[in-house]
Amino acid sequence: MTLAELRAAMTRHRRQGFVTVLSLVVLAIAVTMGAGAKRQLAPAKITNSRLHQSMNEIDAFRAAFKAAAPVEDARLVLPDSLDVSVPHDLRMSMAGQLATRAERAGLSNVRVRFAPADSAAPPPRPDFLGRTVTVGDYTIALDCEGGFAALLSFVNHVPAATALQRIIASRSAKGVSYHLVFTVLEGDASADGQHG
Amino acid sequence: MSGGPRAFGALLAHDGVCLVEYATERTGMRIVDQWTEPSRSQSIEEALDRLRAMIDARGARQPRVAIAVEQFGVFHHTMTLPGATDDVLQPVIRREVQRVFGVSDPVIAFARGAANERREPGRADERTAPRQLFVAGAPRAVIDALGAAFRGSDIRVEIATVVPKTIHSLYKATGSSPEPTAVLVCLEGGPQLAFFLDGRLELAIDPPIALEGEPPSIPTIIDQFERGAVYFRQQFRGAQATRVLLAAAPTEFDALASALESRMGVHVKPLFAAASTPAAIVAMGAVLEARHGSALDLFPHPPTLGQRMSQALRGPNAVVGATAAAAAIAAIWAVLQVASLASTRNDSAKVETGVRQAIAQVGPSKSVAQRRADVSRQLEFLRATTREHAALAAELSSLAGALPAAVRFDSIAVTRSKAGWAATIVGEAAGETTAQAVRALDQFYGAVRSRSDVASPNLDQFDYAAAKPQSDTTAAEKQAIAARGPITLQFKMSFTLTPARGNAAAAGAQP
Repeated sequence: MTLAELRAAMTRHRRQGFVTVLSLVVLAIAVTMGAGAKRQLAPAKITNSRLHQSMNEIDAFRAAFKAAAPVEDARLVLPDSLDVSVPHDLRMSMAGQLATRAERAGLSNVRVRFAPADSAAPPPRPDFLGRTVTVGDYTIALDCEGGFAALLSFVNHVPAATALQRIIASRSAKGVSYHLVFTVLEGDASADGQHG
Repeated sequence: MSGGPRAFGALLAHDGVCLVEYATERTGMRIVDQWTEPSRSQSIEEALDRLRAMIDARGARQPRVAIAVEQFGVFHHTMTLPGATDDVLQPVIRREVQRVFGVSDPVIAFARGAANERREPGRADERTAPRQLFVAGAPRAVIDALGAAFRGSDIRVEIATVVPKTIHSLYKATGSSPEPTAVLVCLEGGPQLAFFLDGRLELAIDPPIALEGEPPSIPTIIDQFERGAVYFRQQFRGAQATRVLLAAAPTEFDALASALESRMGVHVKPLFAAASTPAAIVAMGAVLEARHGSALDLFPHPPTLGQRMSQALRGPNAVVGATAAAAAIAAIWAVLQVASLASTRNDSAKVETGVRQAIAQVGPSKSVAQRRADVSRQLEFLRATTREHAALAAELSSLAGALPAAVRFDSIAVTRSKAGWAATIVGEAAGETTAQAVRALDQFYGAVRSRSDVASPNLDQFDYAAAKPQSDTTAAEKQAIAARGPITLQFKMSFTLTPARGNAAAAGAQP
């Protein structure tokens, strides 16, 4: 169909032509609007779903949480001896604790020193919600002498904030000497309140 | 009488209007009553007014009526054309009607009759076989008047047909005998004559023009019949009607029948005994025609919904309809999308506000819960650490306990690894003979390998110790040699201890 024929047809069917053009305009506007809305609808639904999920989690928390008396919650602190991390500033104190426990276990000639990080596999560390525990960038090396039973007793009484990484026992003419390497689990000072 | 709307048949003519009320019963139709308005009408409108008045006088609600129209320029024609669709046949018939009847703008209607296949069986085709067509027509003004008369009223017109076609329907109602038959209906306007051959309507002859108010006499009717019979014989290879179905006024039926029998040598039977007048018979013929599958109908029925849709979707209207429908569907879809988006956003805003408020409310509870969880995890970690240390100590103790008297360790190195604890033992096995020393080492190696908590045991090094000069041997060594034997094997053994890794399994523990 040529342009002239189309023009003639439009003149002949003026009313139909007007309705057709009007319909096409409405169609174009509707498709544009609808496509735009559809494009925005998908992310809006994802956001809506996340918000509902958050609300559900909060509701579940509210339903599960049982409030205690304020005094009971305040008492909810473990003693320092049970802490599983130590601030970096208190590493000397930790070395002292290790030496003391070694001597108490019956080991002799105990010598403690700080050493670079050990190449052994890192120890597991606790995952707390309110604070972060990391493996210290140094190790504590402990050399001592004594009986095997004393060594095992010491191993059983190592502080929880330290992790035994390595034990080397060597026999010599003077007896048996031991070399132990500990990594230290460190926590930030503000969180380790008991170390104040 | 049935409980449905009352039903009527009617004959509309210049010379009078006849109305018949009938009831449909299980065995057929029964005439209930009939009325005749014999006054002459000057126009179709006047005749229609009379008909409406007669129907209204019956007091029927939503009555149905089938109308036969005589005169008022209404005409009938039969022709035979090859089978084709209505679109093809319509212009052909229109031109033929204009040529034969000289009407410039007629309204025409046609109905298909029986096929008349004369080709050999090999070439026969039902679709293109010549087919008899019954054509009715009328000036447009007449049909417009018909439509206008009943528009807006509660009377439903089933059909407006022509008298020859009503005669055809009546003939079929008698059984469509193949015997050449003439049907003679003596109306006020003159005798309507039709000839049937092999059950088909072959010839329909309108009455001659008569003087106003002068009903045709019996001799006139006989003459008309005789001329018709001659024409029929000439047109159809000597066919001769041997039977006449007659519809005439009761007063002249017998005389007319005996005249036909004596002059034409035919036997005469009544066409429709249930009705008393020819006009009533024709009216019932219109009723029968209305029930016909392909009725010949001139009435301008308002288009049905399907016809309107079909009309709307043809030509330029099809484009308009398609674009309008597409626009409507797109508009509905767009509205749904926008509404859905708005609804989702509103809901999100409400939920977000709720979440913010809830977070503020549960803040203190959350910190308490967090502290509780941390304490719980700390305790669990402590337990796991204690278990791990105890397990390691127990392993080392057990290992030392499994040591035979002839084997001793020079060094033990235990290092944390991903799989557990990597252990390396360097030591000596001694005996009086090599066999004894090797047996002692093998005993120890076997004991290590058989432990369930030992993995990848390996004897890395195995050699004889270099004998020291007697002068370099200490007294203690001399004493040990004396106790354990002179043969000493040095070895290096490595394996992995895999005790229960308490901390790895601890809740919340990280590698």
